[in-house]
Amino acid sequence: MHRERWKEAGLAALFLSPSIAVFAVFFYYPFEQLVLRGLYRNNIAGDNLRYVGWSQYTDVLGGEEFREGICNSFLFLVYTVPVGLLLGILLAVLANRRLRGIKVFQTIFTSTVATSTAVAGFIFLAVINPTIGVIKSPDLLADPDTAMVGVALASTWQTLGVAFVIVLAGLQAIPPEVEEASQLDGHGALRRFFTVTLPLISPVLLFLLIYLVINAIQAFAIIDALTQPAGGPDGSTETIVFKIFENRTPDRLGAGSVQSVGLFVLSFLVALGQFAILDKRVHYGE
Amino acid sequence: MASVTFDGVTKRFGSVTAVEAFDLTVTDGEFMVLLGPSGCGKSTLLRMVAGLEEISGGGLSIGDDVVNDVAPARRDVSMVFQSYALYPHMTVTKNIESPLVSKPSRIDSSGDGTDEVRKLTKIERQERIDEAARMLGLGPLLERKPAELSGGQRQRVALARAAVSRPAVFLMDEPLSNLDAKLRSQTRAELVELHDRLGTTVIYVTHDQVEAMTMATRIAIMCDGRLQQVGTPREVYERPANVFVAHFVGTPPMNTAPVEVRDGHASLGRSQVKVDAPDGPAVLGVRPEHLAVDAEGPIEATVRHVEWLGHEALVTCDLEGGDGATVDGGEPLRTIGAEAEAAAADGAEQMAATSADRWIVRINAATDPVPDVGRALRLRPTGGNVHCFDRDTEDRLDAS
Repeated sequence: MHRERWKEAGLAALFLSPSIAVFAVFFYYPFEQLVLRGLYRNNIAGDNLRYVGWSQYTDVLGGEEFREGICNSFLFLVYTVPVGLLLGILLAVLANRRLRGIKVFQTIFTSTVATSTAVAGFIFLAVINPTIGVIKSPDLLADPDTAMVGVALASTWQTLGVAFVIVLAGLQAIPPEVEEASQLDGHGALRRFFTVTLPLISPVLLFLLIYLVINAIQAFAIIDALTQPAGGPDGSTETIVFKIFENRTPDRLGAGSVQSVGLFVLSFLVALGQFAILDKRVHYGE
Repeated sequence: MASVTFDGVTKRFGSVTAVEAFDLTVTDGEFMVLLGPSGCGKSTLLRMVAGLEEISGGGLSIGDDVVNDVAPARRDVSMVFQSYALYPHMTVTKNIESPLVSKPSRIDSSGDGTDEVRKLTKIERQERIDEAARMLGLGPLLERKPAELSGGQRQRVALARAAVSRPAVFLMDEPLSNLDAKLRSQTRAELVELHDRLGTTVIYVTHDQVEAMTMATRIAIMCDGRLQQVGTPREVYERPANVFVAHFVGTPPMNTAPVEVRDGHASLGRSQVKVDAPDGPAVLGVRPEHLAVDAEGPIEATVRHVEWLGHEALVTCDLEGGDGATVDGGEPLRTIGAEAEAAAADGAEQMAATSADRWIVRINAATDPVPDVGRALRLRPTGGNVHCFDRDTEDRLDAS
């Protein structure tokens, strides 16, 4: 019996070893290095490592720079996530019909998935350019008060394809008979959507919500591509990832590491919170 | 309660015609079974009654109203789907309550003979749920979700949801096909009881002839989108309208073979069988239970295979002098092979399939000796139970 158990444990370890190896090399080791680097301070050349302990954590995480980065990231999240979620649902519902030529619209709505951030940024700049743009809007990106709205718009447009594909897949997984039963039960389109469709795609929506939130917290590339100077004007679009990026100089590596750890913990807590609050409302089927 | 009238109902999907000029009247309170192999158009027909498929041509009436363009919820019908189509995120109570919330329901007549139709109050809804739950034995399950129920329990919830609004017509699309054999047999009896109690018109779709024979007031048999025969289970069994019906109804199916009729006798290989049919090419049909082993019988055969089932034995015989489906130089039968394939594909409970030169004899194993494989014997149709069909149209010859 005892021997059997050992044999079973050995077999389990054997099967788990590839995952453990990947986790150790690509996640645990870099993360451990990150945490450790946060305990040291360097000189401008990147050497002369000086152990400063956890005080660097309290200094950086309680400092103005981190707070400002988090605030900007939060603002970006508020601007992008609800709009992205709602537009994704709206377009997917519109495109989830048995109509001639609907595949053309499905392809168009999906196209941003295959668009790189640089290209998306360039297209967006061309679209909203005050002089030559398709929409000759006031230059949102030049004003510190509206620059975040500008980058949020571009980011929402870029992630719309992913949101659309995810929601459409969810909608197409709903058994047609359930929708038909709802029709026979006398549910109007709106009631059917809220009482049948939405609960049945709730797992997909929870996944999409977490994806969009994490995406917003990690926003960097689209801001870098759109703003001049990057993160401007006046640092109004400097999200936390931007701040971390700016701390890449050898003498700031310690502070950057602390901010990275802070961002990780925050992302983890947000995802955990979302699961804890929303998981009860999600129906995972049979 | 209401009748349902199909008046030349046609359904086309692009260039494919799924149902063609279908005429049928389902009378008030009747249990009508639409029976046919997969792809014959029976489910499409049911979905047209429900309003889930548009009608391409003809007219469909429920009661006195033509409902071709009436929305599903306004047709006063309810449907039990093959997959039950319960709302997986709702409890049993909420599932049953669903049709009562949004659409008007029939209220018991207050003595003047007319039913009142209106939306129910919350208390009335609860009474209806309790009544349906009591009727179908769902009391202890009301707070569970469908995932926590067995197949049989889900099926009963679907029935409760269909019955709770007291519709004029119940539509059922193969509701027993996901149940095991024992539960299916039990549920068949329960469905008949439910129909007797409620008296609602039922249109029930199935490919299973046992369900059709045991539950139906009348059976409408379909093939390739066309109605083949309508009649009571006894009528379609005893007087099939054509070769397709003769093959489709009955397990094992009716034995058939192309024959030439002359002077009241059909020549079957070297055998002569007395028939009541006009002279000319025909298809002879005899059910396995209407063949007896008789030393003086007119049909010569050799035993090829015996399936012993305890109370009976199915004896497969090769007819002497037969040469496949072209006996007497006639054309091969159109439906025999296709039907046998369809029956096999449908998973029908057929243990053996017949062909023009291979017939099956059903022998009562308790009273008659079961012949050994390889034995030559003679067969006789009993009690004049011989059917004759036109060779070209495959329709029943009236004289038979």
